[in-house]
Amino acid sequence: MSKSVLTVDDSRTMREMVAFTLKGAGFDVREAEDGKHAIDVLKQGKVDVIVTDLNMPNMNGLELIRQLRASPEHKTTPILMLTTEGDASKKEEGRSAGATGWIVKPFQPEKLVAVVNKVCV
Amino acid sequence: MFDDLEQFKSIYITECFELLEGMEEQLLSMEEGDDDAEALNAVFRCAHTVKGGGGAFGFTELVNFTHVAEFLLDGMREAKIPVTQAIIDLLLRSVDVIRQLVEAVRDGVTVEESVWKETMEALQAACDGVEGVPSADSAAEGGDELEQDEVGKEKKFSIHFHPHASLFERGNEPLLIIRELKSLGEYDVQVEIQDIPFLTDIDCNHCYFSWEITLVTQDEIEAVQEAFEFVEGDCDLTITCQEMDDLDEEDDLALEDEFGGVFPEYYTVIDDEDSSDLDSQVVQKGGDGSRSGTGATSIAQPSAAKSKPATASAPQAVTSSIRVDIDKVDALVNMVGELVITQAMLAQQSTELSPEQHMGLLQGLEELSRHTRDLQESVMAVRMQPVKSVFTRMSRVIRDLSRKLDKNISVETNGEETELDKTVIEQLGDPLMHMVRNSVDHGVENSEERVANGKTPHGTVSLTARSTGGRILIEIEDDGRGIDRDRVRSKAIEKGVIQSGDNLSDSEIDMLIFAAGFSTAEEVTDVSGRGVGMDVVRRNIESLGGVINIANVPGEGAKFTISLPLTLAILDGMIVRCGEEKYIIPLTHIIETIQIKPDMLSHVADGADVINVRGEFIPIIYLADIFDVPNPDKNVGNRLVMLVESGNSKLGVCVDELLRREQVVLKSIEDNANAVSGISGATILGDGNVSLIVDVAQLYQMLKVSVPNRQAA
Repeated sequence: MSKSVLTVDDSRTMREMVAFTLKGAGFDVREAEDGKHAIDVLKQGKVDVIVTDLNMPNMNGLELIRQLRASPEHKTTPILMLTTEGDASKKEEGRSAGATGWIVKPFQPEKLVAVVNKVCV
Repeated sequence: MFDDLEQFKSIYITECFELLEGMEEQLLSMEEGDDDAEALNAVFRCAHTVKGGGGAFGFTELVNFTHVAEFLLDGMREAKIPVTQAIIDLLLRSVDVIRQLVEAVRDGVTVEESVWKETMEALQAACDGVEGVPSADSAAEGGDELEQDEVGKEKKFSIHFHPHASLFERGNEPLLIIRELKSLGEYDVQVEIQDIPFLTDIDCNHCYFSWEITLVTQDEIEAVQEAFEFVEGDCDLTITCQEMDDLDEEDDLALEDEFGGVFPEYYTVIDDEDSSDLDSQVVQKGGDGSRSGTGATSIAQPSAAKSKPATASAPQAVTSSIRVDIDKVDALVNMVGELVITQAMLAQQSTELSPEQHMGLLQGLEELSRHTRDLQESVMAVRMQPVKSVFTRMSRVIRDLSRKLDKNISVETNGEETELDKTVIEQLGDPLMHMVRNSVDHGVENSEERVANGKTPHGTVSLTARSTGGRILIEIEDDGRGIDRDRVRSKAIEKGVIQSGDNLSDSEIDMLIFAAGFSTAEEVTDVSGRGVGMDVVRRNIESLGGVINIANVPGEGAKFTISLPLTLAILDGMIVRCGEEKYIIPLTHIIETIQIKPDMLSHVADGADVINVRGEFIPIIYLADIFDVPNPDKNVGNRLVMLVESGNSKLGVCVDELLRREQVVLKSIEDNANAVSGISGATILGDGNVSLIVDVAQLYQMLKVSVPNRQAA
């Protein structure tokens, strides 16, 4: 059975690129526009990996990660954050929120697939 | 990169335009003193997204420029750079530049450096004092460099790995890390399990294992570290490296033989300070790291949340909207239009049926009619868009212009969510812009004058949209000096629009500013127009089926109200007969209908017929004449004159009979044939006949042409 990924990004372009790449690699991809929407989507079923942007309206990526980590259901779901800034402070903030790992934008498609596979059992 | 980059490119470009609009709107709201922090964040996010996407496509100039703007915004977010009027100005200018860059990308053309250079330098200057100001070419953070797999010497890594509980809390998984190491080369894993307590004491969030891994690979230490990239800080980790050259090659081979390819303990011990008592601790060892790893995880993570596969029936993500090509929507609208016509035809035919014999059929037709109407409404709703986009543009226009004219004007917008047909919105932009410019240029006074007149120093232009009974009202209101009626009147006389003896009501004088020939190109300043008079504004609005009204209080302000139909696809019309032909006159233009009495009719010197309606002389046009209709009713005395109005000029249209009022679906003639003057379109009536829709505004031009013809005849 194919693994499922939820991509969370307020940018449609990014979302579709992530979705396209991962679908091509055999993942079942769902999409959400921001943290709030992601929480709604996850109410309909868990996913194997979440790939989320950080800067988003309504609920940003860090808050999304915190909320998911606080819920028993998504406590251990791997969450990858997309960061443009390769800087350490963003990564550290994400890590302390509970992010599993990160992907630096812009990403190579192969790299995205590799990183998702890296955290996906 | 992506093979199908093109398909994302168009999505990206559309998204960029939306984002830029959003940026503009937020920047303008910041200027009005709205919650700066939230607006600033929103602007930053937009810039960030534009840059992020641009990077993925390699749009270097766009990324470089946006990066500098983003850097400035970030500085503002962190309060390193103050939010000032000048900075907002600069950012608005940047939005324009970014828009140009996106357009260039869309059109596949290269951009002159001059387009962005100056603004970029200004942005950099504004960032002055903040560390790390990006320079013109350093801005783009290179994407991931593809790691060059340099074939290096074989190295042997000894890795000690002991996960903390926090590793699992972040959703990481030791098994996966070990699996990644496996892909790097040959390895050996040993698990230490002596820390495992009694079953009753096991805390499922804790990891009681630690691993000793030996890896022989040609990769550099970075590759090994990368496997642990995400768990740094969540585990005890020591990685030691030894070049294979330092080892005895022969020993290596011999040992490999002996152990059947599995790396022996011997390697594990080398360079590992902590492994002196390793032998006693080794419980399990083998080449199959994933198997030992699996054992470890199932204990470390009994919650087993991850191993439970998502059910196949899990519903797909709910998307709140979809993007549809406008052509598809138009095709749908068109088809529904046809359906409406068919339905009308059925309804008409059914009137001849006797209700006793065909009760079921008639009921069905009744239901069909209701559903058709609902369907039509729903389909029309698809084309509806909020007027917000136009209002945002206007806010920007007002802002830029008031700055230029050195006036202090704030913008208020209400009812931005009011929806209008997409085509109407697109065509509304130009006339609205002209009116707004007019309000700022001629309406609102400068601060000194305002204060002298006892007003607040800053003026207000407000834009309001609301819907009333099937129409949308757009109001442009300013609290300026209003329209000076004496000046308008004297100017209208001077331009020959009216005669000096004409007796006009106040509202008629106000409407003169929309009269053709009132404002002419040479006296329009570079501000209030591109040589387009207000008469063109009125024509544009009327071509949308709209009507303009003015509420003017001299000294206190003026309010322009544009009333627009919800959609252009359907029109309320009066069906009139002329000879054997039926025409449709849009209801919005009709004032009243009068039965002519011979004494009302008179010929004036230039040949046109006029009628005297309550003391007002109105020219008459004979529909049968201008459309060359055969066999019109001969007896003029029986004729009806329909008074129509376009702008502030009135016209009597002489027809043979009024039939009924009907909602008709507009069909373009120009799509299939040449444009016909005096006709704006066609429709199919319930009886299946085609009927032409009269273009009232054009009748005026035709009046002038038809007059000499009549004389000749």
